[in-house]
Amino acid sequence: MIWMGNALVSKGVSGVYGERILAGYRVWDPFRSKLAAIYHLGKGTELKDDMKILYLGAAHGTTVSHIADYVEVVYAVEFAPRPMQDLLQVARIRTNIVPIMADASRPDLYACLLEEVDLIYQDIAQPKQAEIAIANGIFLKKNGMLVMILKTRSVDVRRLPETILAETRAILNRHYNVLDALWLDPYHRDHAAILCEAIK
Amino acid sequence: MQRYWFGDVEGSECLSCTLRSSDGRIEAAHAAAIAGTSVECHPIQWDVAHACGCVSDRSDYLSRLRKVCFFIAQTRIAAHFSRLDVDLIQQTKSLDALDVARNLLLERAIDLYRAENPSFSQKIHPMHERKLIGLMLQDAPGPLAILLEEIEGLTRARVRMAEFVSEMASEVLPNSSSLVGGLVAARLLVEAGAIDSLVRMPSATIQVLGARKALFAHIKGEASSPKHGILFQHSRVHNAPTRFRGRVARVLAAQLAIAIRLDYYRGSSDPEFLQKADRRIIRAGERS
Repeated sequence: MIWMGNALVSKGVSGVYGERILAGYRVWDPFRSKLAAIYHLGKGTELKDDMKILYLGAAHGTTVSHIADYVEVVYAVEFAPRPMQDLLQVARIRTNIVPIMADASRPDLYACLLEEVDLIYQDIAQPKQAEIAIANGIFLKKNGMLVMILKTRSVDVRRLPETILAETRAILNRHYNVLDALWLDPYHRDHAAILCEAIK
Repeated sequence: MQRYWFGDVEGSECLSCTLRSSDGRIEAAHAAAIAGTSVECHPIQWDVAHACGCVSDRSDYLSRLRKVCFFIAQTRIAAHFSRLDVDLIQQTKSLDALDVARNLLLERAIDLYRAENPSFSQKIHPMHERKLIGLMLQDAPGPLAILLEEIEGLTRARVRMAEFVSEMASEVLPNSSSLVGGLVAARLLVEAGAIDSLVRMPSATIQVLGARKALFAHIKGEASSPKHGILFQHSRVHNAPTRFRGRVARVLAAQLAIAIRLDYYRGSSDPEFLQKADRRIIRAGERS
C-alpha cells in the first residue's frame, strides 16, 4: 500500500468522485471507504498488482476505483440499477474492472463469468450478509482471503452490535478460518470488518 | 462438454467460439442461457479460452468479458427504468378506472333509489355522498343493496389502490412525490406518457399538463392561457387566492422540472433541494 505521510493513496486516473489529490496520487479516504479504514487501523491484506479481486456490493464504484488502481482485475458485483450506472462510468475509464450486474446472493447466476480470485471483499448491507459471504466462497482460491464488512444495524437494529459480531463470526467460522475481527471506529460507527482465510 | 460465456468447450476444441458480436449481445445471451443451469457452479479458468483459441491473450479475454458484462448491465438498467414507470402509469390508469366504475354504479344506484322514492332530489338540497349512501342503505331492496355493496367494495379498492400508487410514485419519483405528492406526480407521468418524455419537458409544459383542452383553446385564440393543469390538485395551488394561483403554479412547475430530472438521473431524494423548493413555493403564494 502506498502511504504519503498519514494518507493512504492509490495511483490512477483521478477525478472519480472528487477525491483529494496529493502529488498526483489519489487520496483514499478512510471516512468514506471502509477498506481504507481497515488499512488505517493497521490491518488488511496488502494489495498486489497480480491479484484478482471479487467485490460484492460495489455500489457507485468509489472504493472499487482505488482497489483497481492496485490490482490486476476487479470483478465488481452490484445489483441496483442506479449505482450500477455510476459503476459503469468508473469501469469505462478503468479497464481492469469487470462490472457484473447481479444479485450477490445468487452466485450460481454469475459464476459463468468469474475466475478464481485471491480476495473477496464484501460490503453488502443485508440481514443475510454472512450467508452471502459463504455462498460466494467457491470463487476463492486456496488460502484466499475474505474481508467482510459487517453493518450490524442492517442485520438487526434492535440487538447489540457486539452480539451480532460474535454471532456472525461463529457462522463464518464454520466455512472459513476467521483470523480477525475489528470495529471500524472512529471511521465508521457500528461497522466491523471480519478477516478470514479460505479453508481449502 | 463444458459451457462458458465465451463458448462451449469439448476437450481442447471450442465448439462455439464463433460466438462473437461487436457489442457482446450473443455472448450475453449464451451466458444467460447457461447461468444457473449447473447444480454446482464453478469459477472458470481463463486459460481454457486461450487454449482453444477463443481469445488471443489475457488482455483480449478481459476486454471481451467486459464487453459482455457491459451489455448485460446496460440491458438490465434499461429494462428496469422502462418497467417501473410503465408500472406506475398502468397503476394510475387502473385507479382512474376504479373511480369511473364507482361513479357509474353510484349514478345507477341514485336512479334506482329515486324510482322507489320519487320525492327525493339531489339537486335541490344536494347531500354529501357518504350521507347519501347511508340513506340509501336503509331498507334497500335487493337490486339497490347489490349495487351499494359493489360501490362499497370499489370505494375500498380505490383507497388501497391510491396508497399503492402513492408508494410506487415515491419509489419511481422520490423528489417529485415529496414536492407534489405521489398521486399528482403519478398523474403527471401518465399525461407525459413515459418518464423519458417527462424528463425532457420544460417547466412551462409541466405547468399545464392535464389542461390540454384549455391549452389548445388558448392556442387557437379562443381563450386566455391556462394557468395550471394537474398541478391544480396540489393544495398549495388550489388553496392560494385565485390571483396568485398562476404564480404558485409557475414556481411549482419550475421546481418540479428540477425534481423530475433529479429523480431520473440521480434516483434518490435530495432533502436540501426540497427544503429550498418548498420555501420558494410558499413565498410565491404570499402577498408580494
